Amino acid sequence: MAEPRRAGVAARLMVSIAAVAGTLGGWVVLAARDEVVAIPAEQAAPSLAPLPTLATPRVQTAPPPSPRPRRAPVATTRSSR
Amino acid sequence: MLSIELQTMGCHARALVDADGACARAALDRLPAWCAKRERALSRFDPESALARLNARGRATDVDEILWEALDVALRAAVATEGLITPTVLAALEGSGYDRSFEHLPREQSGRLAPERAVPSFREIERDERSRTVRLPPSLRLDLGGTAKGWSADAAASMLSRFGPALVDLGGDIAAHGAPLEPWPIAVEDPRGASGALALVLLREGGIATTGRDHRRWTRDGVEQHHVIDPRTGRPARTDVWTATVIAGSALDADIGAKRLLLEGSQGGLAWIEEHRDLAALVVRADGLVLQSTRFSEYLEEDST
Repeated sequence: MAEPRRAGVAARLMVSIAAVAGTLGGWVVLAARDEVVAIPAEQAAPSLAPLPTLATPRVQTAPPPSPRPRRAPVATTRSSR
Repeated sequence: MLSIELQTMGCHARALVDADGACARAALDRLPAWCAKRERALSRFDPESALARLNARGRATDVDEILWEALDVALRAAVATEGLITPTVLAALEGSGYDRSFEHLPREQSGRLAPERAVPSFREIERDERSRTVRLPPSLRLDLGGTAKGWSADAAASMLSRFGPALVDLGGDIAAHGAPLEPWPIAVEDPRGASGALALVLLREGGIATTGRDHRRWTRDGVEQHHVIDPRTGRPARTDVWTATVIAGSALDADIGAKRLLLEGSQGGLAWIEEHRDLAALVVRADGLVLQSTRFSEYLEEDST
């Protein structure tokens, strides 16, 4: 019957370690966020090039090109008339 | 551009010359008389024509020069097509009911049809070149309608091309001579009754012709008839072709090709066209389907349907 009790102690120990680690992690995150917020805007140089803009369709100002006019036939072939 | 329109050889005709001079105008103005002379020689409806007199007597010496040439052209076509396009179809044509000019032909006839029978062979016609004599066996009479229009269109276009690029349209058999800077745009009529043209073809030199059973047709004893006789049966051709349009090196060859297509049907006819690099064809079948040979698209105007 000693084995289950030892397992329970180990589980509680793991939960405690996780809680401490989580708390420390949270402080790290908060500290890091505070640091970013602390950089003055005028000193902040963009670290990335501006995002390329997607090609936008040009506004069609000219009318679409008209199809080449068909030539008028000079004669018609048909069965004998 | 100079032009003239006229009625001749039982059809509407039009000629154009890409020129402006007085000589070209005069040549165009002589065209009606030139055509009338041919019609007087070759008409099967005029009992005084050289052809009608030969058919009536079965023999003629010192035959009219136009008839001699037209018969020579018809017989060369018969040799080239192994008798499929032959001038020996007159009795069969009349037997089907086509015994007067088409404008006077009753469209519904009650007479009985003759039994199916092959027409006489063109090889039975005897010719002597020195005396320009022609002899026909008793059962053989001639109709030159299978080749005379295409041949005449070629001759007229050649004559007019001395003055500039020329185009002659004899009832749908069209000849172009004289290499114009821009090709002639020619419409192919849609025989299915659609308002627009079936295609717009660009032709620089040569000929285009259409034959079909969409116009010159009538009924006899309740059976539909038309003007293209199948020499193997002596009856109008019964194939899946409604109209056939052929482009060739001359209007004569185009006319012969179109008739051959009508007589052989779309499958065999188009296979034959594909074997000849100088021919292209567009076929409308009786079920309305449109087929074209590989080379036909080379002649089409852009956007032509």
